Amino acid sequence: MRNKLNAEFKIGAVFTGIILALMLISLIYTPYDPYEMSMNIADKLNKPSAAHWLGTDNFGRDILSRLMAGIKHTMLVAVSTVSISLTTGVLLGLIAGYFGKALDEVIMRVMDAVSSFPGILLALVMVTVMHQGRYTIIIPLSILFIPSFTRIARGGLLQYKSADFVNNAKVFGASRLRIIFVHILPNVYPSLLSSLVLGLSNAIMAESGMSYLGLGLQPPIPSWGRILSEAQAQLFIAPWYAVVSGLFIIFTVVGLNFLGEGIRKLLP
Amino acid sequence: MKSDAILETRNLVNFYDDSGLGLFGRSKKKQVLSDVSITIAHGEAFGIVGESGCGKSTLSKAVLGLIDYSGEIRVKGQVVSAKRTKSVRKQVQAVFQDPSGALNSKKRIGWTLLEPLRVHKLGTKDEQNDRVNQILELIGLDPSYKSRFPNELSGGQKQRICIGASLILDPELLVADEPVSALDVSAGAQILNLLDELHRKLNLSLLFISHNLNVVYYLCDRIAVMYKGQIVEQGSSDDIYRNARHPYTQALLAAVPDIDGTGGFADGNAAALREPSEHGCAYYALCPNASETCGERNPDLADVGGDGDEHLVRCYGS
Amino acid sequence: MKPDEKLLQVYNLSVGVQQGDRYFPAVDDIEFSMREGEILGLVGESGCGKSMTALAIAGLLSDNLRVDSGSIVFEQQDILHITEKEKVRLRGKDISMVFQEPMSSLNPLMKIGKQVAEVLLLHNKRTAKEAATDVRNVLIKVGLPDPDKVMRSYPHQLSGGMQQRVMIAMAIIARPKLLIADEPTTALDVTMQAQILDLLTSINREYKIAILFISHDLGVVSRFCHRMAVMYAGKIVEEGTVYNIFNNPVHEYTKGLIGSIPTASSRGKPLVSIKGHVPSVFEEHLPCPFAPRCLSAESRCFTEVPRRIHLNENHAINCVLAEKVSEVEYEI
Repeated sequence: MRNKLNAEFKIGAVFTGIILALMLISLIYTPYDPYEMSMNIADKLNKPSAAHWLGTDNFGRDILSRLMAGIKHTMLVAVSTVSISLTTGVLLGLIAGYFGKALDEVIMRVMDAVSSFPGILLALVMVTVMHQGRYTIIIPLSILFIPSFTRIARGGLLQYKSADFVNNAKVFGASRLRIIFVHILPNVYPSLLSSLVLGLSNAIMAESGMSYLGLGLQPPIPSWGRILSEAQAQLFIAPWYAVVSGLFIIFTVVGLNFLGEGIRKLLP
Repeated sequence: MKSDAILETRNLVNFYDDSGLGLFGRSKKKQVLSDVSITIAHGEAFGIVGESGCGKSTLSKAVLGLIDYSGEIRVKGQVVSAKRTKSVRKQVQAVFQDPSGALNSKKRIGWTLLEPLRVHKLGTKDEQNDRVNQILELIGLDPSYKSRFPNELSGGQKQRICIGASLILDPELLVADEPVSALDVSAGAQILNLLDELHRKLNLSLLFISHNLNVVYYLCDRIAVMYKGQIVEQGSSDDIYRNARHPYTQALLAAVPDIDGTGGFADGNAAALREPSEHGCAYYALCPNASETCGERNPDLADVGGDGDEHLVRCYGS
Repeated sequence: MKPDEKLLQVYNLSVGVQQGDRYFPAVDDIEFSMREGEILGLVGESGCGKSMTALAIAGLLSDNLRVDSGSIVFEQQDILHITEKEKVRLRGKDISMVFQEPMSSLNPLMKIGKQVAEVLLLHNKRTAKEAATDVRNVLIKVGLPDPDKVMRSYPHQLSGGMQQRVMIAMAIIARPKLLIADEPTTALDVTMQAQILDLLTSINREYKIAILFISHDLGVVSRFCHRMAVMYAGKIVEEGTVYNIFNNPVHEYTKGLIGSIPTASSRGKPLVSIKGHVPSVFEEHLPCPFAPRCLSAESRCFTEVPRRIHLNENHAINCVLAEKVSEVEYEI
């Protein structure tokens, strides 16, 4: 990248870097065991102190440790959601864009239908119908995210479909698949990369929202949304509990948004 | 049919679907090419000249198999369709107008030059590399260009690379669609020199398309003048340039400003002289010496050469 | 104004691109002048600064461009240092401009009649009715035979050639003294180009409007202009009457440029090709930017700044080696 790094990219990279670093640390070390509850009333809902930097929750667990341990679960959901929807979406978009006509119409109208369906409702139905596994939430979220990637891939493909370098490839006899994946796709990467990062941020928001409603990751997994929902119950007794867990989500989401925006500006 | 023809088109017709908006637009088909028949001999440089919308680019796309058409295209005597086999594709390659659009900006020059060889699975890695170096030498660039990206090159250098990429499969015919119009004068001259040199050195056949009669005259052995999808005049370059018989060719020649001190003036009126005629001659509306017959029936291409040299003109007055 | 006085004089003009705290000269210390009713061609390849010169004269430089030094004197008035209000009046009344793309210069949502009349209503204090008559007359003048129909049309309903005629109508309706035409025929077909050039010629003759004609096309310039200035990398390298320059090009760049155009007589011979390529605005410029590509460059070409040398009254070049070539013989 020869372009000058912009401020958005730098801020985004630092924020995201911090979160990822915390996640890596949490794999080998958390200040306390995030799952260990304490029966001792004195350990419950402690204010932030030197021992517990962000205080303790109503079960006496260390909030910082729980938030740290939560990162990997949130990230797992976000990354798998985005990977599944990115792959499916890009594939569908490229097919729709390159072959056009009826196939394009069918694929794009299905995408319209998916994106016009209320997300929460879809997730509710799917989570209810399906066997409630630990990570069931990934499936409805993935489906919800497909249309945006489809549109980006299709738009990018249409932009280059009639470019002369594609005509050239046709003239020397490259196959359709080769033209789509080897010649055109690399040109769509920049816009895909920035929406991938923004997709991660959206997935984190969506997962937190679902978990908050009890539809996401199941206890005792320390999901951020779940932590937030537990904190809400103690809002008047222990306000810092909700504030710090909320700030954690905001910090991550803002970081990723800056990063996505930075990448978009950075790549031509 | 002559056996040494590299390309023949017979009665090529193409329609442009001008159907307005989706469901509600009425299907309206506009004819872009009507009955275009050309023959390019082996090693010949054939020029097509005409103004925007005359169908010259559509003709090149049909020849390259990039669009559907009706009529017949033969490459080395063999009938080919728009869906072509790799071995047919290999023989007809292209250079386009805008070299920036014709090179994949995400790929290095070396990759772009190797790609046709990879697609056709020609030779070993070493042989492919040798071929690329050989081509770079032919187009006058040193091997260090292989590691560069297109945006590090000037327009003229990019067009050189495009020509190189089109030659890497050792084609018989090169279709060049306005290859110098997007370039500056000095870069354009280099490209014209290069094409001329390749044409002579490799005995490469050229289908050269341009709006600039001077450029076509400079490079080509024979010229066809197109107007509204038809060939209105065709003959040796000197016949067209010095002995034009069709009023449109004459207007075109008069309009081209030449630094020799000729041309550059408008022949005839700005506005149409009469209502265009549906069945008559395409140039009927603008022609300064049209008769009634011209408005009733489109004239056929007739040979007025006489001395054995073919000179076709589509005009009753010729 | 006395007959011999200059309409436009440009002295030591430098215009450049401001990028952050760095400044890149795109027009570098140029000088030329125009008489009343004269057609001056400003020729050069893309990026040579010809369009920027035109924009500087019209006062239309965009925000990232600025005039670094020099002066532009139009009818004895330095128009670089007048108020924005005076500039607006000058642009509408005395200096007008025609651009390459007529479609993007016309407002797509306004009918032609109204657009053309607007210039008059702003500057000439006419009533709408008087203006309509003037518009009709000027549209006929520019070769649009059915002015009422054209006045009721929107730009997209006209062909490219007709749009350019409308642009010319707008540019001449207030009878300016100077018309700046920036590649006005580049987007048009050759036959249409010839018609537009005919039109500009007749306007020039009839109304004595001077035309500063910006073009990359030497053929067009040779047929249409009285005098010409050849620009290369921000400098004027050669200037003179069209006859002198085409018959006796002296600067190596002009020679190369003329030789690189295919003509009837160059068939079968290789074209002159100037080696190398045009330096970008952002590259560091040598005292003579053409030196690295010049066939007769000597070592001092890389150190000495070329000054303008008059070969005669109607021919000047910017070249260090000028004294060598100053004895050119002119055929009459």
